[in-house]
Amino acid sequence: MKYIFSLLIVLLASAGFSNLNAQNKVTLSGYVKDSANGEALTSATISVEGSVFTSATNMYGFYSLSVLPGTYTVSFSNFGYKTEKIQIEISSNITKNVDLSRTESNLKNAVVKGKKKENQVEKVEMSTNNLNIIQIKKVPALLGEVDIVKSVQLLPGVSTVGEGATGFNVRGGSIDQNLILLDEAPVFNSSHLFGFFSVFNPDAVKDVKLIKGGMPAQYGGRLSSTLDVRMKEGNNKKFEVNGGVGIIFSRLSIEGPIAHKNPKMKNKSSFIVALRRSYADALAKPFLVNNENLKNAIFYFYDFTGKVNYTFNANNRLFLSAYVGRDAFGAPGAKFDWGNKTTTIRWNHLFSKKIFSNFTAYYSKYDYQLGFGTGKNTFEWKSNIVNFSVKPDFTFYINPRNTLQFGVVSTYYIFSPGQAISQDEGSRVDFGLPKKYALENAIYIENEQKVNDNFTMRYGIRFSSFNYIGKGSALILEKNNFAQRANVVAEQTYNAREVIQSYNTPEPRFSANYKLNKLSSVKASYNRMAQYLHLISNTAASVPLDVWTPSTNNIKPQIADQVAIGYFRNIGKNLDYELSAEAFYKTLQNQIDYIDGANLLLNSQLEAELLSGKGRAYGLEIYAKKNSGKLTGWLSYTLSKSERQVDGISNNDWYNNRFDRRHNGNITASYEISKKWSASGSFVIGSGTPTNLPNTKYSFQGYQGIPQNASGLRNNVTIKPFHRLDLSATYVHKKTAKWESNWVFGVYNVYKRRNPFSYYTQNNPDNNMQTQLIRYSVIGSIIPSVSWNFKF
Amino acid sequence: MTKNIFRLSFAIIAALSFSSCEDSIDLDLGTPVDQIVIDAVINQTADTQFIKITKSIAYLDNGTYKGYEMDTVGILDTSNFVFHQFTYRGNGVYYFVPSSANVFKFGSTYQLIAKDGADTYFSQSTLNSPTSIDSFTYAYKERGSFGGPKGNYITLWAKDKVGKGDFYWFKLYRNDSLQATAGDILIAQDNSTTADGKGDGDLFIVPIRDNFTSRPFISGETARIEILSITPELYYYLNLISTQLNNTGLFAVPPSNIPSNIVCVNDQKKKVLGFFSMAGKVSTQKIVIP
Repeated sequence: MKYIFSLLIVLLASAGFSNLNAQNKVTLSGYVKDSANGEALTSATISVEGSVFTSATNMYGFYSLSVLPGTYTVSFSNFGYKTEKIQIEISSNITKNVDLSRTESNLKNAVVKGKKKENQVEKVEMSTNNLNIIQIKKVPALLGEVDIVKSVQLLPGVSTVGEGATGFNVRGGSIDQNLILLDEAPVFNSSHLFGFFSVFNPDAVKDVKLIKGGMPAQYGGRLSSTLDVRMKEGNNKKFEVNGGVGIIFSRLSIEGPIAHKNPKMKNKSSFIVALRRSYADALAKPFLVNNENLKNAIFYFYDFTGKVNYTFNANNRLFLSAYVGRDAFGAPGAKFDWGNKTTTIRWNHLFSKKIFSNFTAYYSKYDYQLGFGTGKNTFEWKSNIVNFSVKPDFTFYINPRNTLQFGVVSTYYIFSPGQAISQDEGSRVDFGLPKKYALENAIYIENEQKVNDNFTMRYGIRFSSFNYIGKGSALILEKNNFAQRANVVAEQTYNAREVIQSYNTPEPRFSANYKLNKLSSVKASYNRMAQYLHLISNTAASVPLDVWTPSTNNIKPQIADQVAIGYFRNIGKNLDYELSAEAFYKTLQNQIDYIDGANLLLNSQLEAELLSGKGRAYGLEIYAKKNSGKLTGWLSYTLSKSERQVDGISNNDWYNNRFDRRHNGNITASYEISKKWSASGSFVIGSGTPTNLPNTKYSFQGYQGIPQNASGLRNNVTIKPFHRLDLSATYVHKKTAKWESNWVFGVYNVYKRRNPFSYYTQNNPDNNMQTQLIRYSVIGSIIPSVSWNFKF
Repeated sequence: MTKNIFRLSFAIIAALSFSSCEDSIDLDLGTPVDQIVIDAVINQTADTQFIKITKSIAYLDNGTYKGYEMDTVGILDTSNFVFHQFTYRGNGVYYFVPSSANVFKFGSTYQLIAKDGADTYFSQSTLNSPTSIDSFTYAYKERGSFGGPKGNYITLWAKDKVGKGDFYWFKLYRNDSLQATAGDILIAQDNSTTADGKGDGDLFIVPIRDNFTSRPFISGETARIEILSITPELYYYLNLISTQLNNTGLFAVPPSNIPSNIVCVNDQKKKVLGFFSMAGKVSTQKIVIP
């Protein structure tokens, strides 16, 4: 560790500071945007002909490039856009904003042509997948509803415990190890309807980036991945309405410029609002009239996404975004609802042509409540996690060889693990748990250095610090036997803001890219990640009731170290095909597990029922992607293993994780048949996940069929493999400059496979003396769908 | 109760023809090992007391459990060192007829001793005094808790004993037969289900007091409830049984073995299943639903 530190300091110190005053270079900078709607283009490439140096736009479309004074032909290119070549005389610092237009083919706008200059071979980033919304919309979806998380599940290294499960597992990590960001605010539960749909409205999303390894220093707080979802800014040229009507829900979004008729406001401000609501409850009502239990059932979900931005001047721009989503279930005498809320304010400020900064402040909340009972006899239970954060980030374009990023983040958390009140006939019992508080701070610095034409490095460090603070109390535990509940020896109370426990973790980050030739490169990376929040859940699939808990004096922060190496190659005339192969090895510390029969909810002594262990995961990922032409799509295969070792479980040996999938592959393809028709298909196949099953049974005091796993091994049986084919076809009904509409017809689970989600044992409901093994399939038949989408 | 909420939510999703399905399947679960199971919960009443010793069988074997005969089985009173030997009756059942109530005394500690050839099985438990019952009522309801059908539902009006850390087990008898399906296990910690000691000495909360059955009583049926004051160890043991027997559906947790409080003294590695506990018992009147 010390060695890594010293190396980093030396590297950062030499990060081109010696070059600072080498020659009098001048800076070309500006923004690259979409000419049709003014959306900032991220990762667009700016290259100067006759020079090897290139620059790429950041998340806000900004670029900066230093050159010697002179006249240059500068080309601006981006995936799916026409390349602009502009001759620019650069004698002093100059701002050049460029609008690129889409390469609309005569077919659907989904067909993407043109060279992609900034490609995987050039970039230092690895273990990263970028998906734009156009690609995501092509993936056949359950009930025709475009789904970001489901698309992410098709990427290499990503798996899920089963259809309908919340979240996703990245490189053998658990679902709470993914940092899911919506315009920089973390989203704590990414699912509607327990996991069938994700919370992101595709009409409001611009692009999605999944980072599984070689994590840039600006990201932290979760071990396994960052899923960065960026919302659209809203069309700043004209009003646009998008919408759709499907079987489960309808969508509507409106975007446009604000006060654009005022010449002072032209291209300065825009907004987008997007709304979705399910109406399955209304549709299902006639079918439930005869169902005694369900005829008055309530079930719906909705989400609202809104964003507005304003450009003050060339150096200052402000963004405000908000999200509210909610799911509600209920029947007379019972209710259950949950949802996320996020708000983000961002201010982009240019300190100079070389220093771009962004100041973010966000608020994020996840809460649920459930209650039952009628009249005077009721039981109510609420829980939430709230966090506020302030986060300035800076990018210093030092010179063409070095780009330095640095920043600070400070986050305050309030955890409310459970407020529970039981009332009956006037008596009221409150058995809720007290709130918990924490403050997490991090500082990071990272430099991307082009050492020479073929070799690029990115190196940096993030230093994170977590304080579990009062008002609260700390349980002092004594472990006698690992497999059993620890004894609570004492409970110590702390005043507000008093530090109960603090942790500091240096997190070095390193990535390197060596170009073998124009078409291929090898990359390597190492990162250490620290995670201070833990999702307390021991079900196969996470549930909305799961509670987030901070690291405490008893719960140590989770730490992961990952190394990855990869080979990247582009082939084809227009570099149409991207191939990559990556291998990774990851070790995890302080993984949470549970004693047998742990009570995870409303338990004031939960910490006494937790176990801590270590994990390891390793694997190989192969990915081939075709970006352009009539046929587009990808093929992904992952061979991996994810294991855990916890004292007290499975004879203290290593055992396979519940989400370990040895083989996992898919083919996702889309084909443009004609101007009117296009078709997509997705085939997924994978080995089953391990599960725990009893092999014997006994009875006690009249209770029959009590299961016993006489082998004592955790996850002793492997579930049968899964595979599924989904198809969809899109018919463009009408397309003019002012109006576009299409129909999407889909068939999910074409050959009616009953993929096992889990196996479980039970006493036969018809004969309590008998026991049976049940295969539970979340989806057991063909699910057809049709939806209609429009845009004007 | 969270399970019930999940069930309800999932019933709704299933009704939406999301087409989830549950199929009974056969699978090789590995070679079973039969293990000795000792089932002993003894109370202070004058009723005949039973201990049952069987062997576990393969999970998917729907035959009956085989009784297991040991050389000596009984309970030792540590206050006076009297050994109450149980007599073997066949099918794994051992019995003992107390001369009167309170042969087993509140506050005393008792030891289970079972000798099988060279092996001696041992456990220890204290007998807690029972709580008292105020009343036991029934009422016709249009709907049971968690959407149960209309019918007669019973409510138990009883209080937790004063003092933190009391544990209870409620047993419902319908027509003198113990209701023993997975959903029938009802236990309490003080007057609720949490260890915080809030509500100590109060009436058992909703949904404990009215959650005895999801199947309402019909006319002519009888109902009776026993409340056993149990040890915390038995409470956790029953809690684990309840978890394991109700562990189904999308939100199943990894099944786990339930640790016994009985050990083989001469060979600690020898696994034994089941549980020994003393329990102070109180029972309601038997009521007939008109």
